[in-house]
Amino acid sequence: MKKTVYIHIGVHKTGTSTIQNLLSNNRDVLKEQGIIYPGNKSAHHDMAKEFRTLPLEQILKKNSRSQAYLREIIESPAEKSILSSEVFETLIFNAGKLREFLPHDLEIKIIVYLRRQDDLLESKYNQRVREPQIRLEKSFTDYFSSIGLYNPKLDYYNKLTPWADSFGKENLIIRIYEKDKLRGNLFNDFISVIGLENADSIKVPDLAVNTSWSWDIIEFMRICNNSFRKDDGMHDFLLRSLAKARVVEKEKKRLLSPQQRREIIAHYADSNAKVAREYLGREDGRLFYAPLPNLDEPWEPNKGLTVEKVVPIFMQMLHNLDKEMNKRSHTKNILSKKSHFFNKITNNRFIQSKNVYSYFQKRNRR
Amino acid sequence: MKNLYLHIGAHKTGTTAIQKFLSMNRDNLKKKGYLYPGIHDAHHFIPEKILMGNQLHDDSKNHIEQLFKEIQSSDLKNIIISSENFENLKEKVPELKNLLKNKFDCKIIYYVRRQDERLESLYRGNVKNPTNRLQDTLAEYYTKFDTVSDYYSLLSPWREAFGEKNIFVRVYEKGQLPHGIYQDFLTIIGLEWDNNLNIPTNQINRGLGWDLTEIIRLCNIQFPNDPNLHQFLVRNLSKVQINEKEKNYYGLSPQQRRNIVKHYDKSNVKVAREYLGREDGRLFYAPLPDPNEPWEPYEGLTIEEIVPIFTQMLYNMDLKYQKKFRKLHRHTISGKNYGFGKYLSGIRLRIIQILKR
Repeated sequence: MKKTVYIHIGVHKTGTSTIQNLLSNNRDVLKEQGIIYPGNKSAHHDMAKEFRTLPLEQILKKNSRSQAYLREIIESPAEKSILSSEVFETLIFNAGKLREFLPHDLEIKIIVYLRRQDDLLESKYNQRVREPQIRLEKSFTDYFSSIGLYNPKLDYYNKLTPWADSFGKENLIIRIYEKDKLRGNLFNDFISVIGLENADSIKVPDLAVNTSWSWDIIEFMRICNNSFRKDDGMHDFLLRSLAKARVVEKEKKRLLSPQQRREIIAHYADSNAKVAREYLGREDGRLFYAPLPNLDEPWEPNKGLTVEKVVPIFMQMLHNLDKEMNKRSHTKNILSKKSHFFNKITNNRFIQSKNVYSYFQKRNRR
Repeated sequence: MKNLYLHIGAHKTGTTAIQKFLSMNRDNLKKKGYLYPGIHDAHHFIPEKILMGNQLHDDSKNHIEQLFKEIQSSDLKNIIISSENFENLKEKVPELKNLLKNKFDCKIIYYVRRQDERLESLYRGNVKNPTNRLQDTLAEYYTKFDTVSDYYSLLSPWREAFGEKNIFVRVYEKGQLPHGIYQDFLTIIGLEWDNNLNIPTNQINRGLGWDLTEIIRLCNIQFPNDPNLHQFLVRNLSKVQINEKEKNYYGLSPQQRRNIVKHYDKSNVKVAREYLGREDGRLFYAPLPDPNEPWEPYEGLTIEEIVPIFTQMLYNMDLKYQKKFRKLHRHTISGKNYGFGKYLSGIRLRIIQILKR
């Protein structure tokens, strides 16, 4: 029987970090069930980056990361293996390179999650403000106008075509990232896709990873990005302290108006319908089942930060700083107690090491 | 007779920078024959002593005695003394003259700044000042503009005491200081610029921006009796670096600024004619603000301004504690190892001692 390799290629902002976290935390459990997740990192971004930047000859050399992962897959007795990185999604022109690299006696399945473009756009903005390499300074309206209503990067049919050409349509497993569409939750959905029979022993992490932040905190971060463009330490501090800050929200606010969302959906409608027909065999051409945004639903543009919003954020930051310092002063006490303990021994009248030590030192010098 | 260059101010004309510069270059100046006595940056204790009279404890008296001793024992021909507080002496100038006892050939150096700029600078300085802790808005402060500084009447007691030819008035204005304040000061005392001289790197006593001043002012109103908090604020806010797009922003409207300059016009003309020998009576060359030029009043703090400032304060605090903790950690860890190593070697030595017995 052929070995199967599942390649989870994204797309960005469809819970990839959460899935990767689940897989890397359960390496041992998966191995027992005949599935390997190669390497020891949480994901295989390094492999995907090699395909994006290096020519094939260089990847085929023995010391590349991709070769190391492939060797692990081939040498292991396990029948199934998983590679996961959302960076693979960007390999539009390089999917063929990946096909050439992988030996033909392996059966390749490509797993890709799709999310409706209006949701994706907001989520992307949320990510780009936080991302240390990007640190977006634009307000959402500016960002939205720079992306435009239609962007080929978000066109799923375009995106999937090179993958289908290289690996075959039947080997693409397309899942819809939509709350109702996922069986149970994201974890169960992914587990069912890779065909894991005994899923009970999998340790499911309590928290989702890399969840999107509240818009108030994103706005806060954006203002800081604007003022401290080059300060890496500052960005790190902000990520650290703002990730802990909580803002109470009854419901996740939308930045796009229902009208704008409808327009976006309309621009991608053809492409989405083609994906539904050709890859999922849905005659009606419906890719996403969530209802279209209701034009009458109450919506207000995001008004930005107000004093009422900023004050609690600052107070939480201060509180966290204080907590951290208390923790530190606690360890400081322990440390000083320990050193005190040793000092007590060394200053013991019976031993009087100091005097003896210095006495001998002096004598030796003479 | 020794030359004594007395730099008497005024406030807000780069005095702190000049003092820092002189004190940094003490040795260099000594080689050129100029003495900047003492070890501190400035000589504020002399005007303090004269102003406070006998109320002051003996410390400053000792300071002055020490200072004269140093001057007498030195064989350098030129002496520089600097404090912007000399400016406040006014009718007590003769007392200073008595103190100097005709031993010196005195030269008075006084920088003047146009009164509208000076008022804004004084306002910001007073909010920042730990003793004043001003609570007024700029508009309220503006109403007292007639007390800012009448340079002519301020200079007349000095003229009476030391003679007109010994008073050097300089104008603190970008166009009239083409080579910067340090070089200008050196040329008055008769020195040439030299590349060996050190220039203070970070800006000294830099005025805080309007936003930072506003934060301190609001806290002055809320906590009028808390000098510690004030000190904390000034210390932490001076470290904050924000994009200062408002560098050329004036808090006063063009009309208000014109009013101030007009109020002091006569006095300024007299200063220009009598001290600088300018027939046209123009003391300041910078053009007056156009009353119709676009100007908006300061709108107070907005969220976009507060967020970066507070975040940076928090960040600086975080950095500070991290550094402190790292140092402490290293210290205790190494201390422990050292102690334990000593402890072991101590036991060994003890055993050897016992065996030898």
